[in-house]
Amino acid sequence: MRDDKNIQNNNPFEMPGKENPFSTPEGYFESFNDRLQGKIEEQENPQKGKVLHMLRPALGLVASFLVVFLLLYVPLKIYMPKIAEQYYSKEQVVDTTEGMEAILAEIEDQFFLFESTVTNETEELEPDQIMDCIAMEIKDYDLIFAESLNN
Amino acid sequence: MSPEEQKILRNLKDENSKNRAFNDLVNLYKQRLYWHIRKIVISHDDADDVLQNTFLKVWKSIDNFRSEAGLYTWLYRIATNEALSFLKQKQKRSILPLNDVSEYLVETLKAENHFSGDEIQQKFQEAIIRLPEKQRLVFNMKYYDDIKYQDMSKILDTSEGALKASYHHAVKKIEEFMRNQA
Repeated sequence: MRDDKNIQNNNPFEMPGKENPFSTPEGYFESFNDRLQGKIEEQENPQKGKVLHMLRPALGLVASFLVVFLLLYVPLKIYMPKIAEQYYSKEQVVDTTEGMEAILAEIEDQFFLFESTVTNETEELEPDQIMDCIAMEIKDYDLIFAESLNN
Repeated sequence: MSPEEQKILRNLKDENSKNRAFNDLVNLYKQRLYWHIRKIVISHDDADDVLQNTFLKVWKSIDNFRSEAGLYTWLYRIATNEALSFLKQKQKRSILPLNDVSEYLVETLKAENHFSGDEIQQKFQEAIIRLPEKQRLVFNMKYYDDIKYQDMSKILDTSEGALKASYHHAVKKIEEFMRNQA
């Protein structure tokens, strides 16, 4: 019977027949029209999709910054609250006018002192001079810290 | 052209009935075009994408359709071109070292969930996949869809003589492949 069919179809060799071996998911053809309609509407009114598509790089950038910020801020807040607090209190000193003036005056003095030692004598610093500078730094820091405690 | 197709075309030209007529056109051809595309791209998901793109193209260019050209041959032509373009794009985008699209299709066939054929049918499909592109198209259209050479000539833009020769060569190659696999 199969041979007759093959001869009729000009297929003189054994073939598995013309039945379709492929299948589709259940209800595929029934739902096809709706999906096609959706695609046509999307193509004809691309405004919403277009705006989102245009904003996508900017949104990605904002999201990346947020992630980086959270990765830095949250562990600092949770695991090192003291440092965070200290940093905050330092900022308070800077915010006050008196504290600010004191810091500026100290920086100015230090700058003039350092400039005079370098320009008046030699280009190279002597070990003693370096030690003096370090001592001055510590002194200045102590002064600023004391100022912050007073406030 | 059948009276049903003529009615659909008439309604497609009228703005008031265009949407309904297009829906009728989709209902009339979706299954035939799907199976035609499926035998070219093998995967169901790919066939679904190509079928949607085909009807999208039909929707956009229906106003340019010349009624002297057969509706059914016009649709088959669009579907065939869409399916072949899809495969070419897939091959370009593929990161796998594929020399030939047939290797990709054989792998797709082996991994396809929506294939209900037995081992012999799988070998038979593999034999068809390994044919050169034109021979594969001609064989599927003749063997499964029984499309006349005259219509096939309009769809594939090839002479009837060349199509008959392609079918003959395809049969010989499939026969040889099946013998070697036995």
